[in-house]
Amino acid sequence: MNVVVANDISEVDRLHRSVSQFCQEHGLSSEIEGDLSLAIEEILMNVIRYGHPEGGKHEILVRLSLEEGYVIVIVEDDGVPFNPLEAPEPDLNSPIETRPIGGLGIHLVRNITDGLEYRRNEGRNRLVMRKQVPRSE
Amino acid sequence: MEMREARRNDVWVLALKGRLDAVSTPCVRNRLQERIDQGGRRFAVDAAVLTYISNSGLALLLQVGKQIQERSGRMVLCALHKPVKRVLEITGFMSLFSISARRKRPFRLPVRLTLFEPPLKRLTSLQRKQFSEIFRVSLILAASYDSAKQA
Repeated sequence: MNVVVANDISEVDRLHRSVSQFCQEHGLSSEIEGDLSLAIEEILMNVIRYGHPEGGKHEILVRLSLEEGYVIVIVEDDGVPFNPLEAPEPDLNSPIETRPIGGLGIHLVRNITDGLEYRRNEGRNRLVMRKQVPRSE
Repeated sequence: MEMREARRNDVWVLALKGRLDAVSTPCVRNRLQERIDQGGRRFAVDAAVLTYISNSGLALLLQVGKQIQERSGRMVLCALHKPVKRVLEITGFMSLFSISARRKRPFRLPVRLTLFEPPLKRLTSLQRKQFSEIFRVSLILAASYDSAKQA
């Protein structure tokens, strides 16, 4: 399934619906759907917030497929280079008074997916996320 | 996302249904901010039918939680669903807030959270009914198997 979304927060809704449709078509559980939705929302929000400091309308390509027991999600954008694999680990221990707000998106993505690959090619970011599907599904 | 609100004594109860994501977060933030500005200090977030939370929702909880803390108030997150609880655990949020497994009386005051009926409750009673039916049938089968063996 291919979904092209604009770099606008309102597109997150449409993306959730597409993920839901994909999971229904492939008989995937609500747990898998939740994790896929979350991983894609976080990557998308990063591109929307920080990808294009110059502004303007841009397209983000999201591709979902099921291959050999894994859901493969590919996200491609033409924003500034951003490698999620190099994002710093967030502070998870300080008390509420000093805990920094935000910056947990990539940490979540790392924890709920089973594999991440990043490539920068011809001015585009290409992130491949893998999510293992339990055998019973 | 659907949001319902009620006030029980001095506790604001906010029940959230569906997804707390980048799209729905601003409206929840505005409501909570309004209540804090009006002097609200005690909040109960009823999450019994909240199925999803992303980084945007976490940022909202933390931002509001900090303000409530500064004002010596308290926010209790009630009846968290597994997927939401998991996100809070991964991000180290469970230690930042008071967590209550109960929807009834999260504070010691007689606060009851029943703004949304949890589908889980209905499902459990249905499952209980189905289970007792399976049990009844299996007893009959076992009995007939025994009598067949004796014959």
